[in-house]
Amino acid sequence: METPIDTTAKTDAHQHVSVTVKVNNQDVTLPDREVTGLEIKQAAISQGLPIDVGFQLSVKRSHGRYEVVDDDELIRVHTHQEFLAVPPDDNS
Amino acid sequence: MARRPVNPPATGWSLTIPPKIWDRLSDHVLGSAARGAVLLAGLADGPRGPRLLARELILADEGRDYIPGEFGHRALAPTFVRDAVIRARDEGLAYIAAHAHLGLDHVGFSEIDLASHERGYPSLSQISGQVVGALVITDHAAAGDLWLPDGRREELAETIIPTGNLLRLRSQPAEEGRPDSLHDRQARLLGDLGQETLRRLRVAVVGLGGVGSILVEELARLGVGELVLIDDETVEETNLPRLVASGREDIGRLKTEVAARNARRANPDVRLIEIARRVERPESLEELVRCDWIFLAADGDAARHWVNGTVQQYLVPATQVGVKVPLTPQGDVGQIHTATRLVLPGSGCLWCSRLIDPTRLAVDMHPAGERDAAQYVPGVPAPSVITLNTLAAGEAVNHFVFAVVGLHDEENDHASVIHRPRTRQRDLQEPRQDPTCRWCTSTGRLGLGRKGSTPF
Repeated sequence: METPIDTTAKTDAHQHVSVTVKVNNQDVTLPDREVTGLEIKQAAISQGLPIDVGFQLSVKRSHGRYEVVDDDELIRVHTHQEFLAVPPDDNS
Repeated sequence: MARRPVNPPATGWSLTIPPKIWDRLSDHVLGSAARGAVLLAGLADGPRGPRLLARELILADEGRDYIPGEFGHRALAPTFVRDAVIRARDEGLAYIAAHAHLGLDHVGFSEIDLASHERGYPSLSQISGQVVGALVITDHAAAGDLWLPDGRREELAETIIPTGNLLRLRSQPAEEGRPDSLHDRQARLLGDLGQETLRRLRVAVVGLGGVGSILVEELARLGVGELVLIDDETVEETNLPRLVASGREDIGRLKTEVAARNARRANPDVRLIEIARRVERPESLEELVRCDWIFLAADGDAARHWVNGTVQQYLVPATQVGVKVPLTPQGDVGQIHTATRLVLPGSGCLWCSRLIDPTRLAVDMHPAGERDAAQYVPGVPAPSVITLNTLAAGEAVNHFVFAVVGLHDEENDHASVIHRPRTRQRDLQEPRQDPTCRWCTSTGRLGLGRKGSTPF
């Protein structure tokens, strides 16, 4: 089932429930079902993943392809959802 | 162009790149518009350490995939990196990002490069679960920074391109070799480093009959350090006129024993692995895939098939050596020819050149008794003469020596040599490649290493 990206603002009635997703194959617990791309990376960093907030985040869709999630993009997540965070590979 | 340095084989991690992939990579990253790329590579055990086997090249398109860098001059775009590392993960292959630096014989990563690796490669390693790393090249040098799934970090000891001259690129040229008084006369041609190269090589000879015995004699006297000798047959009386250094007392002995005795006589320091088995046996293949070069001097389609598979799946170059003497039932002699065929990874193979017959292969894979029964017609021994064998073996070993010490004029000349001694002709034959070959292309077994099945 496709998880739509919800760009609406959070409402007061929204229930805060933690969700565990995968970022770079590692479990990362998020504080809410609705989080931004930046919040996902911040949660991953705080839980010890070797990434930084400058990495590009992608979410795996049901057809198996990855879509980029911007830092300010609000996304509704579900348990076991898979994300990848990769940097550019800088050359001198 | 300046001659490349001769670098003897180094101990540690190596990366082998098939010639066609190297040509595309160097055109892309060393061209006037320097660009980036990613190699996907299989993994295998090698004679001096783990081997990465480049199987596929993903070129970064300028402007979309190779963009202005955040910290460095240029960068592989994160979406390109992501898609490449996903492929590495899904296919169980190493991810090696490649770019070029200016220079000739020396190359190394800059602080910007290394900072980028330290920032990004731990995460890429977590994603793929495979080796990830980077390669930086010039025309004559290469350096690599590898991040292993267990958290260790290794430098690449050498990058090998088995083209007409077998290139071994390091971050800087090897130091001058030790003078070797025994081989003084040939080292005057091959160089001390060339002689040291031979000493560090591990070479297999498959088939130790008329041609194979000459190959062993020459390789041992040249100073090749380690020989893997594979043949399951014993010496017969009719072998003696062609079997170098054999005598009547050897009748009934294994050909591997006779070849080993002769190799030791030629070079007491040579290390020998004797496998008295057919080449398709697991114990033979385990040794074969950890060689630097294979000489195929055995009759039969099975031997051709297994050696061909090793060349392509494990990126080990080989030379197939053979002599054909056509004779009609009436005794008329046809056009005799000898062939020394260079079989290089990813550049056409024995299947593409129609040199393996599926029906004969099927028969050849049966036990000995069934093979004989399947021939229907009683076998007539083919003519065989030591001088013809010498012609083919000498051509093959000369090519090998020139290749490993970098003496061939034309690096991209991969042609086979066909001699026709009756008409005194010597012709070159280009390799042929089917674009969808299941052995020598990236859609097949090329560079899969131990990820592919063995036996093949």
